[in-house]
Amino acid sequence: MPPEIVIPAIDVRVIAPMLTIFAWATVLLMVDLFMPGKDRKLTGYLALAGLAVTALVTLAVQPAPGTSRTSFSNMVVLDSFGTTLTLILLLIAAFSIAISINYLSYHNIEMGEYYPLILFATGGMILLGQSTNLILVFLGVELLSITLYVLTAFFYPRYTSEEAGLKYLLLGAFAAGFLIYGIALIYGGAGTLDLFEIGAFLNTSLAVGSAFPPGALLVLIGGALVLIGFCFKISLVPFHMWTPDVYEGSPTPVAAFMSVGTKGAAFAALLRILIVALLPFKIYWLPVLGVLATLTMLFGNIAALMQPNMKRMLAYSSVGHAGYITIGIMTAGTHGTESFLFYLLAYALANMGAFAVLITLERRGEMAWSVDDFAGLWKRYPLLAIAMATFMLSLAGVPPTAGFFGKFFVFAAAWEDGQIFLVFMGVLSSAIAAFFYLRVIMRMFMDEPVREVIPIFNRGLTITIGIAVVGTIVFGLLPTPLVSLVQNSVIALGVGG
Amino acid sequence: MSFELFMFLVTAAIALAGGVGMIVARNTVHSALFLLLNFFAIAVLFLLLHSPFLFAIQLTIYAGAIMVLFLFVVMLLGVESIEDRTKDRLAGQLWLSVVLTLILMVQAITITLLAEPAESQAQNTALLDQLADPALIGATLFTTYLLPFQITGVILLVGIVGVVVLHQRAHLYGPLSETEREFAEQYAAERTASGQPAEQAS
Amino acid sequence: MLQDYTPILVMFLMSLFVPLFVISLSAVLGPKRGSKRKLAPYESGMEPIGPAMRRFPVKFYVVAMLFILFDIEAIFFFPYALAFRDLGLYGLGVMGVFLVLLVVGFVYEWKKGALRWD
Repeated sequence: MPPEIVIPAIDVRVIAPMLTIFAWATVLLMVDLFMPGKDRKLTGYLALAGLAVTALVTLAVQPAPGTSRTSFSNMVVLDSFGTTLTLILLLIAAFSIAISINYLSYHNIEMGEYYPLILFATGGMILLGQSTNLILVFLGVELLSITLYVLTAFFYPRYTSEEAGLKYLLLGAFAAGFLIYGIALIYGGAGTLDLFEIGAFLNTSLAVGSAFPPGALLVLIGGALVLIGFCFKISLVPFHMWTPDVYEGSPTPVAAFMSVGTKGAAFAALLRILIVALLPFKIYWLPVLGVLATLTMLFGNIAALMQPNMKRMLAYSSVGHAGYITIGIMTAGTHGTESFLFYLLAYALANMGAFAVLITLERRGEMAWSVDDFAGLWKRYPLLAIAMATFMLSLAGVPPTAGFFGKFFVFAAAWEDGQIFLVFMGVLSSAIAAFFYLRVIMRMFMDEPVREVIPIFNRGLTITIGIAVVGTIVFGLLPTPLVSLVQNSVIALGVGG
Repeated sequence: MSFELFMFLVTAAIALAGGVGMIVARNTVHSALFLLLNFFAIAVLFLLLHSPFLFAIQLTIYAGAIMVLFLFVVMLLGVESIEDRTKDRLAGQLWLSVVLTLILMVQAITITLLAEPAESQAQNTALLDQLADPALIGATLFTTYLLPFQITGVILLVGIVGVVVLHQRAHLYGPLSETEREFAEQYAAERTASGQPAEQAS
Repeated sequence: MLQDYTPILVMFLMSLFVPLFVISLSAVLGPKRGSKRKLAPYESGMEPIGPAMRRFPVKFYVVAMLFILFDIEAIFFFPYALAFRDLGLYGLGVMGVFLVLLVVGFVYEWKKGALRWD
């Protein structure tokens, strides 16, 4: 008996952003292949154009407020949350490429494949933000990770880069094992991989009797394993060990891209899983995430205190920020989604900017990134020092910067949810964090230069730093338009809802 | 004894022999060949479980490609340079493996004891035959699971690019110079000595 | 259903049997008149200069990696081959998109010289 073929209705609009970026990346790979000469800057500019086109497509297909579209057997959803996240991710990717274009040739690691790989990774991130099926979540994580393994090891003659790539690969594969095993258990328990259906299954099976039904138990165990898999990707504290080594070894633009983009996309996917599928288990995952967030905020910031190496300091600071974002995730269902998006954008601007400043001071054949290089920067390059100070203040959460409102919204949402202890720990760890962010500022403005460092400027770096400074200050002074944007970014809780 | 049970016992014995042989073989290449035997036996076990598609995948991917990769890794690292395998480098791993194996066995026995009565098993087998039909897998793969299928294609493309990029960097820059090599060794030594990253190395 | 695979089993056993039979046949029937010279290790008439299991260049590994990737892609053609009649033009289009990605990868590695041996 031949199987019955039901060709599903396909709504291309739902996947239009990722379709655009994947197609552009594939064509760019071919264009780069047949492009003569050694100079690969044109590939970079074409990649930027691709990101711009994808942003336009995303805006063109964005759903009307409060509605969502699903397609491909309800595996992907296009809701306003997905659209906003996609735009933020595209901005992050554009920053990463802009600061890469001269970096690669300066450090003699220029290969045209770099740019298509960034585009593919961005596509994977967009996919993560939109998928409502655990198979697609897994594939998105893999697409993102495989690309980043390669990009991490991109700095060829540098052994640390190789080491970083291998470390990331091994731990990433280990994490993928947790993720796929958890997904298998969830499938075994619920009989479906669809997030909406898992949520419905849990609601009905938990409502039936007082006893814990075996299916729901399997979903609970599977959910815990999926959470562990994600904790590796977003480097929450017991699973963060790879972060400083990998960031230090990889090319600086790639570290910047990873620290913001990977985190944002993985958090978005986790948020969707928690709020759509595992909401009936909130009593279980809430305390777990609370402990993880507390550990992450405290440990990340305390470890960053002791770093004389700026790149490692930023790595530990990104661990700490993952803790704050986790608080945003925990309040999913009330104001979690909007505080998450606001925090992500504020953090993306400040962190990409800080990494860009780091790149201006990075010299060929050197792997120092010492805080000493920032000493006395104010006297020689006042604008650069002011930019760096803005980013440090924003990362520390001092007004009037976007970072302040990011922290404010996260803490406010947690307070409203009754998570008083977490708010307390968050404020405490922010105070610790202020030490090392302010130390950088002190050294820039108060100290004498330790050695002669001539920053490298080029168009991509200048524009990135400029946009990041302006964005950080404008959103710090006038957060209202951004707030209304993120408030309208709602996660679709049902099919076509 | 039915033909199926007979086949199962023979295949399971071969699979076990392959697994044990892989662990006890002194020569790494022999280990890999024992693993190949194990892969083949597992493939036949899939067939006995009425899953012809998994049978084909097991043979092409595992017994074919993955095995070739394993053998190349062994040959790449050099069989003769592998350290004395009689020494246990991870203390306690033997006992840990025994405990974990016992847990797995308990799980397997529990599942067997909890198995459903024979008549519903026959029903399940019929259902399984229907579901594991490769044609049906094809029909679902290209309709319901269309998007994951295409994303897999993208991932494979990225994989190809990654292999070539990581391999060809060396061609672009040539082998490491003497200073670069020295630096790398010094860096690694410093790092292991202090447990801290090396600062200011240039 | 398992009976469908009996021919494969028979072929498998035959392929096991034939070489074993031939080898043992020559061991039984062949004359064994060894001299010192005949029993000496033979490698183009020279003493062996090293172990047979030497280290391989990394190129083999790259080829093996690429082989795995294309092998996985080929696996997807099995179910398509079984369902393509029912899938019709739609299936051709879907498989075409997949195939384009595969061909792009192939062209890429060809042009990059990953398939060149020297």
